[in-house]
Amino acid sequence: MTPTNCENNATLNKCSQCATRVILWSIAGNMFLSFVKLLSGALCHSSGLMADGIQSFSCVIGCVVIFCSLRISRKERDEGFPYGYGKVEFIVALVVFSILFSLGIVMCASSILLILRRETSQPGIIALPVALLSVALNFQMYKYSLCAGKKLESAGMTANAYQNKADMISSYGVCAGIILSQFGDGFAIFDLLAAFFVGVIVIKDAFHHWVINMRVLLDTAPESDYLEKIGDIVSEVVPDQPVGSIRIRRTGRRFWLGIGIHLPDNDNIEKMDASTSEIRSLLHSRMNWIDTVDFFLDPSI
Amino acid sequence: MNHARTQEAHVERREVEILYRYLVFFACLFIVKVSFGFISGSRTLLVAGILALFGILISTIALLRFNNATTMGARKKDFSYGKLEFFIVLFISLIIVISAITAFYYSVHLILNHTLYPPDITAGWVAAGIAASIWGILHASEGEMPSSTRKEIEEVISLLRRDIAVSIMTVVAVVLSRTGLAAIDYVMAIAEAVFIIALSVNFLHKSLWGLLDASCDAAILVEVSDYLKRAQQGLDLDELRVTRVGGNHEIVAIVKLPQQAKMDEAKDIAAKIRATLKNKFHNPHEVHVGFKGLQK
Repeated sequence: MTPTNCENNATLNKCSQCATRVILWSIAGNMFLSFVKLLSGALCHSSGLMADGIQSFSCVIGCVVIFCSLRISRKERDEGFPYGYGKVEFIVALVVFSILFSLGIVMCASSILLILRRETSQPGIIALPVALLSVALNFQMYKYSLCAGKKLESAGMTANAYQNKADMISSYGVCAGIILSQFGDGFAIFDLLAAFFVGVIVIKDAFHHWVINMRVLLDTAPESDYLEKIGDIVSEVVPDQPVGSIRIRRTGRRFWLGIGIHLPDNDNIEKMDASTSEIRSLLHSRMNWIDTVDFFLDPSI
Repeated sequence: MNHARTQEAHVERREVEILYRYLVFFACLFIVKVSFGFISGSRTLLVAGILALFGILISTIALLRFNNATTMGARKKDFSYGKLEFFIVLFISLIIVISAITAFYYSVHLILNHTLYPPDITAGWVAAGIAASIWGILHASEGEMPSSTRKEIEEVISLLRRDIAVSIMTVVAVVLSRTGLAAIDYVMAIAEAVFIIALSVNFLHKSLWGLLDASCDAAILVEVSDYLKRAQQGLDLDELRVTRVGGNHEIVAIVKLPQQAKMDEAKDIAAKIRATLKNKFHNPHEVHVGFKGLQK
């Protein structure tokens, strides 16, 4: 978990609107691709293209779910969810990457099986423009989704980006298979090898992001540098006082912070309020990835 | 004091042994039911095997909680590994619900297509044997159960009792199916699948809500708040958050005090709140107490 400073509010608003447009275009784009691929695959007898069409359809479902999660995660915190709804995105992202992981395994396993059984097919060259169209469209959707995901630190948009990337690289595999299979029966095996390598790339990407999202949901502590910097800021305001435990928990794009403090016995609550307000201001100004800060009396000090 | 601690450690060891035994037993139940379900063609027995997965899940969670409790002190940096429990519950519940939905779908499909075959009588004997062995294990465990049994062990025992009922249902389904009512086996399987789906949805809901840091029920919040106010007269709670972290609770209490109140008074109040909540929740928990000045 790497907290990073967010963009300013004007940029964030622009990015939020862009993210909504990107996801709606992703839904429309994937529906169009799914229809075209399934139709072309049936006409050209290309099993690779038909499988690709089914994958695009699953992307539509993924995009719809991600869109809903983005709306839910923006809700304000309430009594039922005192830390907000931000983690909904991470759960949805986890599900999407789990599906992509399974898809990668299925792609690898089926291509190995077909290679071992020597079951190769020779798809028509007419399927090639469809596969190229899929590569181009998916690349655009991947690029814009990833941009929105990075700017907004949004797990849902990142998951959507990698969904489109998986579709893009599997379409690359279909293109390679179609082109190579035109050179003769002996080259048809490259179609299956391409599917295998596509599966490996999908597995690698999915696993990497699955672990990132799982660590967020497990509230794994960040690197100790961040904790030291926070401790230094606290010490600036209340020097000569030990800093207790610091807890960081992700609440969506930003983080909740719980800081254990210690103040001299003869200080009063008014002084404590003033110190904690000052610490909050300093933290928010230097680390705008922090959402809420709570202060506790740490019994271990 | 030392004698009480030795007694407690002994009870814990006994509880861990019992849980491991149940875990192994449920794993064997799962294998036996699924294998004989396939061999005999009994849908009811096959679906009952999925129910045994719940036993594996609950026993695993209980053992994880024991492990977490003993090592919690070493994990100050993170929010402990309590949330790992939610992941395990989510993952296993998803497997269970997908299996149950698949079983439900195929049973309905076969009924609608009139492709009904009565199961082999072996299924009835296996189910009867399972019911008898569970009864035997429960009867034998009664004597060696520690006096203060944990909630998790009680849940496992309740599941075992339910399994006896399911096994008897399986015997009835097999016998009736072999008398010409072949659909009974499929209908019983559908009923079991629906029950399993309802149970899994409950587990899924709890684990998802836990991962989302949802608050405990409003009733628990009111109970904790009242408990604190009774234990500490005149306590003015600004905010109270109670969330689950696996089997434990994380409690955040923000107390309002007059602006001129001293920090030593605040520390005393914080210590009393921690002690009060330790009495209320016997399992380990994290309590954070903060203060806020009353506005003039």
